[in-house]
Amino acid sequence: MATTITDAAAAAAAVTSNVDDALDIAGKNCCPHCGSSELEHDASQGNTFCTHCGCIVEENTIVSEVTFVEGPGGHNTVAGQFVDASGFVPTSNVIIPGLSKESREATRNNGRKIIAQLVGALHLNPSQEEQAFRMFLLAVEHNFLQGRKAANVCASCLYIVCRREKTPHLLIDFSDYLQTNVYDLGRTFLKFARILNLSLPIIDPSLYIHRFASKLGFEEKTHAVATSALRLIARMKRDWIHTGRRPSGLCGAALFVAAKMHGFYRSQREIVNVVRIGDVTLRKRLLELEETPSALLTADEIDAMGGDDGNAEALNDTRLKESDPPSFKRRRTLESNDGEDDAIEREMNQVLNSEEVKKIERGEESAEDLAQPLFSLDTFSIVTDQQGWTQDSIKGDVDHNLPEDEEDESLKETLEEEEEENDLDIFDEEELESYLNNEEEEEQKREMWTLINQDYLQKQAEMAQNEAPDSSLIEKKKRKPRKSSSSMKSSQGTDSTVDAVLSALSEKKVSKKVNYAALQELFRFNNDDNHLSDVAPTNEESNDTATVQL
Amino acid sequence: MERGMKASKAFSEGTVKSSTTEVTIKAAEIVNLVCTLDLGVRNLDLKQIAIKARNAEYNPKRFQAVIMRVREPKTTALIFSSGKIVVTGAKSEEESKRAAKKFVFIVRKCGYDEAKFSEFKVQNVVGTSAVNFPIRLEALAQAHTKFCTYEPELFPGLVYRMMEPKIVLLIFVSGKLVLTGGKTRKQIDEALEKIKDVLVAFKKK
Repeated sequence: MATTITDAAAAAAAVTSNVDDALDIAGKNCCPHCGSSELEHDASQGNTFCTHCGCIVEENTIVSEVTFVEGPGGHNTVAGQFVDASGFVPTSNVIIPGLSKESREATRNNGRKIIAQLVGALHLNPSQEEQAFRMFLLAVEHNFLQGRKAANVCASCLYIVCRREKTPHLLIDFSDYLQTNVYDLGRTFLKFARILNLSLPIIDPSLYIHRFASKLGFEEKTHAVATSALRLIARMKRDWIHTGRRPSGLCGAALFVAAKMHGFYRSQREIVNVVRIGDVTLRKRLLELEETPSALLTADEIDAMGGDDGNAEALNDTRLKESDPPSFKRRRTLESNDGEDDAIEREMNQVLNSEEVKKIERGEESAEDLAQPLFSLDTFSIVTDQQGWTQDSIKGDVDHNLPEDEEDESLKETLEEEEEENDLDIFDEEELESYLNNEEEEEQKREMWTLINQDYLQKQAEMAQNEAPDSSLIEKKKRKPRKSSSSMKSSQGTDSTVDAVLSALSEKKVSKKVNYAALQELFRFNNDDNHLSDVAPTNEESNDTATVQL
Repeated sequence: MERGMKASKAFSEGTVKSSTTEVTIKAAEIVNLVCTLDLGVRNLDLKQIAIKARNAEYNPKRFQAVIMRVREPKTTALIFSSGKIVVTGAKSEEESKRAAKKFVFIVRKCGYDEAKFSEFKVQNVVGTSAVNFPIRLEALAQAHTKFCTYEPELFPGLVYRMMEPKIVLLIFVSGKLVLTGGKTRKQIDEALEKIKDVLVAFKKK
């Protein structure tokens, strides 16, 4: 009976599984009796025979015919079970969607529902929905749903399908619909893709151009603008702007420029709203585009020189040189600046280690006595240019501060050396002492801490307090039936009706509409009366009960 | 001024020359090292430590640990009430050990004389490096699908998960690299040595 069907497409049919051992038809292609290869397969009988010698090679194979069996009551039922496209075999014959006991099935139904919702919201087609659902089944099989939001997993499945089919959908569209964080969704998606060992095509900004262009209201010129934008994208690719950049930002920049090329003015804000990217990012992309050699071309030149499919290979101009990625350019300028700083530093160190400075340190010479300045004038001019200082003021600073600094430095170094040799127990006391507060500071910090964390301390205290009543509450709940019966007994034993009513009141509130405070007041007054006369008028009592029952 | 200009010019020329002719790769520089240790004391009174130490902050509303810093070596520690400490920010194993000892000592001074320096372990080493050429991330991602994730929508760099040594590399188009997930400096160097040829193969033409 155990017939597993892996091919889900073939499984969407009633399968009669009346064969215990399914023979491999494909493996036997010649007759074992006479060696002839002219075998005939009869699908309805489920057997294979040799047309040469008549030997039955195979029988009782699985047949695709539907068979019926007669039940004990004389009614006919289909033999076997219905296996749906998901490959799921229900355990019971009665299938009520959503009421199944199998949690896996519930998970599947839930997944299917979310995927269907997403497909509807993002205008995808049913075949994509089907693919995404199969992805989802894989996710269920890998226990990928555990500890993750089902919606995120479903969106990841659908996004993988979108990436494969190169539909113009971004991950942010999914997160926007589901109202989840796009990076959370991204993490789920990446993890899933890694588990399934999928290699997805790299995201291509040119896919999204038409989608965004249609939202910007260029009307009949939409196609022309989009094509220009694609040409710009091709240029961006060639000039390395697109590597490591979000596709939406690139599309935004391309569309902004393309709109201008065709005489439309779209503000940056409009673009930002359509492509959903920060305005700073958009401006940065535009500036980067400006720095490339392509920026010097006219609109006609850009349109004339190819790249219509948004690929750098489709460009047919050989005049312009490919430029370096903007980040690389930036890095290089930064590094050359660093080099300048290094040169200054080197000279500084050289001077600080020179004989003259050491003499000054030792007090053998004073700084004013030096025959020539310690630093070359160039270094000064670089430093002063950068900082806007005058040469004299620096000189003065250097003269006065250097020896002291040096001393500190050397002292620190010796301390460090000592520390390294020392073990934990004989750390430099003085230094470590500096990490600790003295008593006064301690007191101040304690006050400050208590003040700042007042809320927290209060909460802690409340929690501690709540804990005790809470536990007794649980006990009370457990004991409740007993207790109420005992109180019932006691109420039965009460003589006066007032007492009975009061005890009934204390047990539970009868109605929200009764003003209990006023009622209590009434009884207090009553009680006082009782004390005075000891006999309460019956009239009043009945009135009271009536009020309570209201 | 003149000399300074000349020097900077010469330097920039040097970089231009090297980018067109030879391939250089910076030796990995360790930028962060995370280690853990155990004081062997349970139920530390974090409030007391926070009050006694000058360089500690404790904000129980936000995070249930004392954040303590020392100036030399410039590191930060998280001290948990379980007696476990996480020290971050050191630049070498030796430095991080020294810092860890200092933290243990400070805790002792805060009234836990029985605190000891035990179970010291480096948990993560982060290094940076750079090559002097842009890298074709897309081509690299397509050629090494098993190891790479490159999703410009989510992160501008390419994440390269090396199996042996088990290091994660972040490769950026500018040629900068971040190597993380190592337990020793040696692993970082090994990974860098291994990735070098890959990067050269995907150098911008």
